[in-house]
Amino acid sequence: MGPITDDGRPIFIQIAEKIEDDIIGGGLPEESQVPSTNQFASFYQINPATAAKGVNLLVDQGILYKKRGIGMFVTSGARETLIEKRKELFYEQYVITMIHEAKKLGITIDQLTNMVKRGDDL
Amino acid sequence: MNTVIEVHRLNKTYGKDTVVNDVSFVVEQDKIYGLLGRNGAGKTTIMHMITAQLFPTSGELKVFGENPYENNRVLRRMCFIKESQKYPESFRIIDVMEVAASIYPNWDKDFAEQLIQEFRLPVKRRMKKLSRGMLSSVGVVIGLASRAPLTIFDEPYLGLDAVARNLFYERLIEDYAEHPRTVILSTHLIDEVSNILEHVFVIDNGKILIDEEADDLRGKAYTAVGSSANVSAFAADKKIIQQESVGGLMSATVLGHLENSARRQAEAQGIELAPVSLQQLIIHLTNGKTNGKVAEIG
Amino acid sequence: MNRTASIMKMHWRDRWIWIYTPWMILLFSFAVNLIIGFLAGGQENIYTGGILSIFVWIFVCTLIIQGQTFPFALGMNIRRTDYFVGTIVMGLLVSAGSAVILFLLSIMEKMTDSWGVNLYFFNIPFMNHISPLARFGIYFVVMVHVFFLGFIISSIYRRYRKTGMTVFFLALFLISSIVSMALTYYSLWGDLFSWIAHHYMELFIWLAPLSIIYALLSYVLLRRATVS
Repeated sequence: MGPITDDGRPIFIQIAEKIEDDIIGGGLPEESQVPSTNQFASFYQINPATAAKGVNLLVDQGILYKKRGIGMFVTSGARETLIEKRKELFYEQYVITMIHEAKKLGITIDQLTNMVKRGDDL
Repeated sequence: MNTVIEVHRLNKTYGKDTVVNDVSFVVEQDKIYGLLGRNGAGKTTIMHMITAQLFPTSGELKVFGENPYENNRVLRRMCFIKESQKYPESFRIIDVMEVAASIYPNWDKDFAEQLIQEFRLPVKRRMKKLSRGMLSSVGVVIGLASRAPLTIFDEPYLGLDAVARNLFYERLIEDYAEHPRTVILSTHLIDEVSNILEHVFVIDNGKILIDEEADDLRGKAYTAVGSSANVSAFAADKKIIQQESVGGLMSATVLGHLENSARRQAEAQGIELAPVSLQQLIIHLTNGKTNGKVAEIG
Repeated sequence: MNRTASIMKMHWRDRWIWIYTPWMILLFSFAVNLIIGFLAGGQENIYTGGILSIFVWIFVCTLIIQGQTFPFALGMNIRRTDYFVGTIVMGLLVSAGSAVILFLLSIMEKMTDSWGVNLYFFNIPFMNHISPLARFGIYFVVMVHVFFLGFIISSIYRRYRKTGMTVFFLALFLISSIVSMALTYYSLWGDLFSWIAHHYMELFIWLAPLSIIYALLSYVLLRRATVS
């Protein structure tokens, strides 16, 4: 997990993304307990209220759920949901940008496809 | 949310000098605030008035719902750590700690001792023989161990090295998480504290320039870099706070949220967009070029 | 914990300045005089005035102490009132304690027939004619007066800074000049001294209300004093 950066994006969104990454990567299996808000705050050196906001964002999206008096847990099926969401983001963030840049450099779609295949061989 | 500090049209003048100019703001309970701004902007004066160590020239000031002046109900609940704090000549660190222990109702002796060790403070040394960094550490220890419901740090780390500053941030977050309280951090090291802050006040020339949630402030501005013609066209209908050109390239820092349509327009025109950090944003806003006209950003 | 008590505990840390140092100076001076007395074999009466050192010390000590502890206490979010009360109670206790010890030493001086060497250290000449209780009263009232005098001068500085000091000393200088000129012009110095010689006990008594006035003025000043 990388550090939180002041890159202009709200920190609570960055926190939510870190938890998402962890769920997708398998570090936080479904039905496992998520670290507490205060643990997140200490670890990333951020305001506990901000950490809570990030966690709550995922609760609102049904990725996490609260067990009263115990803490936060990963919902069953959360990984699948997140992967679907990320695929859509992947298209917007990487594919579109890549095609824009390719066009600027005069790379055709065929050449681009070949490049992707070449990259996959590594 | 309970209100801890309520300041309404506060002014402080010395003769013809206006140090604090018609300042109004509200501080809510159990949040960490940043009071940011350049040296001499009026931060310290405002904090001295909140703690009744200085008197306002005019305006209303309420702390915990009451006037703080000579009011123990208010003063008992606050701890103000300032860079200019004076200590009696004969006092050693241990004397200061013991006085603090008898003054602050929530004083945690074990925590204080832990912090003294972590900051490597020589408890038997006299205050007047301490280095600037050690003096700052003493303030940090008092500010944390006093656990005052309203804790104010004014430039708490002059002379502290990066390790000690980091230790301060860590302990502050941990202890705040366990014992929530209202914290005001006044500093010009904005980058270091920006992740800790929940709400930000920016003061410039005695006026409040920004009064916003830190996360709302992020993404309040972005920088667009590209060919001069494209960037000029792109930024034409936007509020530019800083602009620079090199050859055919132009960089413009734009105030306002980046809309999706604008992002697509930028991408199509080969304009690169970069986020602006809190520190950069504040530097842009307080470097004098804008004459405080951006006060209405929100 | 009561914050007035905290202030007193804070001052107690400075007991070397408040108590030990002045007494060491006084007792050292006493010892030196005692030795001189022995060497002289008690041939002559020795009036030293060494006892004055402790009064001068308290005056200077108060001037210094307030300058150091007031900004510190306010910085620690103490009320000005609590500082004031804690500090004057400390001053009164130290004055009372010192007066008791001076009184006991003066009794010993009488009982030992001036330490056997005609050394009049704790008894000032005029005190031979007054009751022991009055002697104690004089020690106490002078000590308290000196304390509050230091306290009010310091308070003027806390409230009005350099301007206050300049005005204060200028006024003091002007008033004393005018009075002494007037006394000289009307040749009243002699009358004044003979009046004092006959009424010095009244003067001592007047020090008490004067001290109270200093205290009240100090309080008013400190209430409006700031720290930055």
